Amino acid sequence: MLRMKETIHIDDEAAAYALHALPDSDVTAVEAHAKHCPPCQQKLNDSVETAQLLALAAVAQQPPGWCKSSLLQRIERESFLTRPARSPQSRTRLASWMPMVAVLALFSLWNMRMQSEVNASRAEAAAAQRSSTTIQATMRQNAMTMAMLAQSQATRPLSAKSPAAQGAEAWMHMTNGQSGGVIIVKNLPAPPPGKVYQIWVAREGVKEPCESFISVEPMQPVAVHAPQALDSYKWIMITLEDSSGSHAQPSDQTILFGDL
Amino acid sequence: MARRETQDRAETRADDDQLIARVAAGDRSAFDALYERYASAVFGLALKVLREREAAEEAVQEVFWRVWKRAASFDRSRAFAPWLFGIAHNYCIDELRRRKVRPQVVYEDDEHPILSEIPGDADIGAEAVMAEQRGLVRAALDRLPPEQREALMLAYFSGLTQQEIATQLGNPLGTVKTRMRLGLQKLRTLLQGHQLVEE
Ligand SMILES: [Zn+2]
Repeated sequence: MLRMKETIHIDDEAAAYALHALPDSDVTAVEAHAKHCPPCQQKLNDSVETAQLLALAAVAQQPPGWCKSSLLQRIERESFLTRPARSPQSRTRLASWMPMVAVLALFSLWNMRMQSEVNASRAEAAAAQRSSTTIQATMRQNAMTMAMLAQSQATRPLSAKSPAAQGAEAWMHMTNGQSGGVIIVKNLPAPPPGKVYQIWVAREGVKEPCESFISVEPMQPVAVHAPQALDSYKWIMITLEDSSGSHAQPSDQTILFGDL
Repeated sequence: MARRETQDRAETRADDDQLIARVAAGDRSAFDALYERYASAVFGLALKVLREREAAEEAVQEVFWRVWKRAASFDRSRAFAPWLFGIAHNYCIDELRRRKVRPQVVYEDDEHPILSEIPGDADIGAEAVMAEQRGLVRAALDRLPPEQREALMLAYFSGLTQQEIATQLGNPLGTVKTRMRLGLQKLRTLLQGHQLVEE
């Protein structure tokens, strides 16, 4: 360990410091000395400036193209997450409600069809009873989703952030103070095999995973349940994740983004 | 030094200054341009230090990510390239030490100088300037006494401390320290002659 007294100036250490050849403890001592000794600070700066040019002694090689695209995607994602939230004005527009109306109609038709299936299945034997129970559970789920949609007070648009989601749109339907809501996803292709779409809600320093889903319908409603009221978060996003594995942090493959 | 080379370098420096200022303001196209200009130098450095393609690919992304994040704190009175190389070298050495993957002492003298990389008069722009500087650095290294060159290269590219270099080479620590100091001093003097570093 170096003992850097005021009277002992940096000599050999400046070069070793610039080349990253000093142990950490000596690095601290050198920096502490140079801070109060202008000639040594100058010596250190000169050594660092010279050493940095050694990078040019390595043979330059082109990195693969995906390095840049992945980096740009990271920047895009970060700039979205650090963007200041929009002023809390009502953003409910007719256009954003249109898909909701369409989905409600879709649900009604679907439930009517399932109701007839239930009626038919009632006449059948015990084997069919299991299937009717499943259908009824789905209907209950759909009814809850419809209720959440019907009572939602605000709509937030999500826009595509990935070439994989080109042409896709989504709207988050939510109610102030409620942790449950419904996302209507439109024109989102099914994820690649082994992948699922994962919904996240986020604010500074917090990213919470919610439901995951596989979009198969042109207009897909997905119920969302966040740990806290949805309007206590700033952003909502949908990422592409492996269907197995825990999702503690979103991957870099962001598909759709929106302000809450 | 040829007037043309000085002019090309000054233009490249001015372009870099302008690009990094725009990056500091959040301009992604300027960031893209800086990446295109320097990614191959950073990747080459990362490959030489980390000796693993995958790790070097990660390094390029992380180094340029730091450029994006730190652009606003960049001291505009200084040149961009040495600042970038500093970030890249820091990252690579930290990564090497973090993984505790210490390469064997391999001093590859055959990698320099590759004078054929120095472009002719027809080559202009940043690419040519970099190739020219590359040639000058390698030529300067070649003019160092072999033991001084070895000390510099081992420290810079292998992430070994002075003590580790002394142990591996079987030299006293004091000898290694002196070689590093004299080697870097002489390199500086040689590069000053080409105005690659300030007098
Ligand atoms: Zn001093």
